[in-house]
Amino acid sequence: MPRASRRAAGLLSGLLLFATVAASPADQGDELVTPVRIGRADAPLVISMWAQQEYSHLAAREDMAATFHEIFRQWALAHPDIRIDISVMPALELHKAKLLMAAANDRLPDVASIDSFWVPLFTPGKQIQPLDPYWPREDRDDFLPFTIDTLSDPAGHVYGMWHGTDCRVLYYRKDLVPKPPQTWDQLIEIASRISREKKISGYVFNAGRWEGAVFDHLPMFWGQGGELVNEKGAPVFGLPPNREKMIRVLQFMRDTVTKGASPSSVLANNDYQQLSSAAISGDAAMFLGGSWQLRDLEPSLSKEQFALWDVAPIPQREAGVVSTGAGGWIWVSFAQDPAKAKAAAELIQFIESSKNVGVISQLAHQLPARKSVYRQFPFFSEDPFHKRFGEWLAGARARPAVLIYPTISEQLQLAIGYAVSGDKTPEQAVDGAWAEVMKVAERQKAGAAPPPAFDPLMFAPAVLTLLLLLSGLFAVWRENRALVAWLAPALALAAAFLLYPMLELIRLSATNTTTEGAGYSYTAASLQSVAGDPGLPGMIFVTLLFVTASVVLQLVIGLGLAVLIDAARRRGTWGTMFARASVVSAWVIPGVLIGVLWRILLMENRAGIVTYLGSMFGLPALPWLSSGSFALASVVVANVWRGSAFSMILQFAGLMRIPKELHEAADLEGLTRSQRLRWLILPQLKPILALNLVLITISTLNTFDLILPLTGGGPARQTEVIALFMYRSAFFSLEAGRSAAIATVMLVVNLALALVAVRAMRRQAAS
Amino acid sequence: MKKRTDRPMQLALLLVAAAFLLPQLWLFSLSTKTKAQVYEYPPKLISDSASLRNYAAVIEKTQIPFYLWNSARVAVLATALTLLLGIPAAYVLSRERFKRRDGIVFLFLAAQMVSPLILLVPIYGLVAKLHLLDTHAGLVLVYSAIQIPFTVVVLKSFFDGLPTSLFEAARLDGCSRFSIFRLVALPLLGPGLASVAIFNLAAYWSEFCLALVLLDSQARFTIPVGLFSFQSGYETEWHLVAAASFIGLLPVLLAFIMLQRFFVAGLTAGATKG
Repeated sequence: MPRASRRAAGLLSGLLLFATVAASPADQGDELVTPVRIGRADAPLVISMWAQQEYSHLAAREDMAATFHEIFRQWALAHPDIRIDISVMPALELHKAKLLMAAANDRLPDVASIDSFWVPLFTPGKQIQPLDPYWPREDRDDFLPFTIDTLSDPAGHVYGMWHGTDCRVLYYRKDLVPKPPQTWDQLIEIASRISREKKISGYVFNAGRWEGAVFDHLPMFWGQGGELVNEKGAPVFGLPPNREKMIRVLQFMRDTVTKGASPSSVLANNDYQQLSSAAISGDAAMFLGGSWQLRDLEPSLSKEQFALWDVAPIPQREAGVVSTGAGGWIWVSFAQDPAKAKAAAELIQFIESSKNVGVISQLAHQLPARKSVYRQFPFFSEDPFHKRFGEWLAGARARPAVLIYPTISEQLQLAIGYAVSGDKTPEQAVDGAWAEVMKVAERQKAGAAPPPAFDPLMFAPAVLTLLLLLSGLFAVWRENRALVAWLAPALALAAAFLLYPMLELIRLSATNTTTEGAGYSYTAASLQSVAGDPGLPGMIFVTLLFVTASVVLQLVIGLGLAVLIDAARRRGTWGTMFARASVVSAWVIPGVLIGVLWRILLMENRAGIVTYLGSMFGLPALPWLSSGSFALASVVVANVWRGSAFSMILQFAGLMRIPKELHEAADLEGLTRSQRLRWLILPQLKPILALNLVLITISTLNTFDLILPLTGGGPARQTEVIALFMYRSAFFSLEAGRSAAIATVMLVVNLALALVAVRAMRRQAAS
Repeated sequence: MKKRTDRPMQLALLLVAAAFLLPQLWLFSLSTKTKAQVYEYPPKLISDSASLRNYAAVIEKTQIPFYLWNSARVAVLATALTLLLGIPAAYVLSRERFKRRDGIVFLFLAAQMVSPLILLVPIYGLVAKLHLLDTHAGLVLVYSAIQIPFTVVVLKSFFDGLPTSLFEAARLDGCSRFSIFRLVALPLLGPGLASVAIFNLAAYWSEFCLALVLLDSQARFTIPVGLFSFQSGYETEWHLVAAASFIGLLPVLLAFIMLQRFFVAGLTAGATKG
């Protein structure tokens, strides 16, 4: 063995030994509060808690961390016989999926922080436990009415405690807007005049593909008396009289663009950050935002500039109506055991006691959910902004806590995209959304069937996996016994964790089960509903464009980089390593972060980096993310930027295999650079190129991570690839059977491509 | 003469580095800012009072160092397991002729094309049944299983490229299958092995979905889960996320630069033997 390999082997085994033996050193000492534990390590009662990092003693902000550390220390001193094992989870949709899977497998924590509208997913009373038995009525009465109403059942049980909330308001600049508009007509009139005269955006808002775009505008619907769902939780927004009210909201949103009040770039706004930065860069006179954004504006603007900003209630169809939407995360208890349930409820009350709520809310830039805090805590009783936020919150509404809400939101996001871009009339957009919501509602009703008493098919995937593995190995054994030992471990592991889940997936796709795992029956409905989705042809087209463009560019750029770097390496040019490492560095950033990075770079207001740099050279602003074709191109560029490293590494390794003698021969022959590429490099590289093509086609087909934050699939559906659609239906709409059906479709497409690829590679090998 | 031809080459390398680094430069700039400066206008690459305090805060105040440690542990163990199981399989699939060979290769190729995300729900159920939820062992097994098809397919194509004459000669010398594998094939695999190792390490290092879903205890979280934990209900502290993500980036880049030497080591080995 050459020395390098031996050294590598030594290094690797050393690392391995270290990694196996050493354990994580997170839980240290016998302090009362450690990163993973609150209370004494040997306390008899242990409860588990899934919190949010920025709402715990592990917050990155020092003041917040210190506050929670002290709260937890006090709790531990008062409760010496209870230990809390705490984990901090990301506040993402995927966390919801994790909770759902944990629920199906009976592994929920005792206490968790969840988004208020996730409550119906966890069957209140069965998984989420009522807090009221341990939560005195007087204390409950101190909470804002909507926080109790939204989380109560008809029997009067309360299933969660709000930890901080917020409301939506109109931000406006007093120097440009002397009197804040009360109605939509006033708003459009003022904003279009400002847009015309001052050459800045009169009014900006969220119209991108995300939940915020819907929730920000629900107050305009509620303000007309509209209802999304009836008392039973069934959707009604598409029926008269609600339908007209929803159409009016979309018509108003469309009007802001057609009448020049707002730029069409609002279609790319899928984060409050875009609104804040438009305001801070002086590019907006008004925006529809959240109460917490005050704390984005204040430190970023000079005192004089900040003094120009004020807030007003959201403009409505008619003057004199105040309507706002309140969001917020809540504490829930999943503890079944009475002792744990009591401890969990007490812990939540301890954290959210009126003594703590004011301090935490101020630090978290949230609004307190307790009425008394607006009276007693100076920041909220005296600050002119927060005093008014408190008043508006008294009449606020939260998202309806019903199963169908995520579907309604998703369909309304699309409707907003269609209506604001003018692709559909507001009537068509609302009716389209309504039709889709009704389909899902029907399926949800059907899914409530009792589970089959005995389901032999349940064991089919496991049995089939075992049979396939054993028959395959047996066939090899009969032919050449020695080979089994070489193949069996790899095959067995892949069979267990890949083949079995695939077969299980196919079984699931033939059911109408939901992630919450209630009842299910075998049906082709899931597969049919996927095949009949009206968006499917469009998504296939978008996917084809995205994959083809990405793959071709990645392959060519990867080859170019590999050839360049190989040539530079052979000549010993300085900086080769640096160039390679920089390509690779783009590839190891998590995809979601890449999406966020490119979104900020391509932001379509003055503060967007690309727009800003362009304006320094006198270039006009381009609709990087708000026009369909530009958005698709942006998504491809971001993906190629990330993915080129993969092609480069693989093709570089392929180039390294080309014998030196061939290059020397080429030197002797005096081949030009293009001749060398054509006659030497490409033929030698062909097998690796083919492999590379197959590998990146598949990985691109499954890419959604960077699209999600970049465009969310928008505007409307113009960048929605099938993988993103699948991710959404798995984690946003709860229909496990249906998402399994979509996944099965992806599986079939992947396998078909694999077949084509294998054929092609074999034909090539034969020739 | 050499100096002169190097100029355009260096320029090209510089352009490449710029194309891939400039967008990240902005991310880096973000990591040196305060929360207020994140939104400042006009945007500045280097803000007033830019500093590395976010890095200090991330290292001292958050759990990121532990998450780094966990990631290193999981990535190294999973890569080792993947290679341990994948190399022998790839070798016989490349060098031996038997009836089921093409079928098995196809299965691996097909399996490697399935996004693990598609399989998230059934995988969770399986790991739960095995009582391996919230353990690194469970994560390592799932990770290895997912990357084994890829590893086998890529390594097989590198084994395919080795000259047949070498193997014939060794066989005539009376070497056993294992000795040919150890003495002839493995040493020649340098570049292929190094690239597969870096692919696997990087894939394990940045994998987020499975890690979030399969781990419950913060003491076992890996770095991507830690990064996204900065994402809270409303506000995301982007300046801290940026700093944390650069800290998370460094180990993989170091691993890449270290493994880089084996690309070249493999080549020289090939040259002397061939």
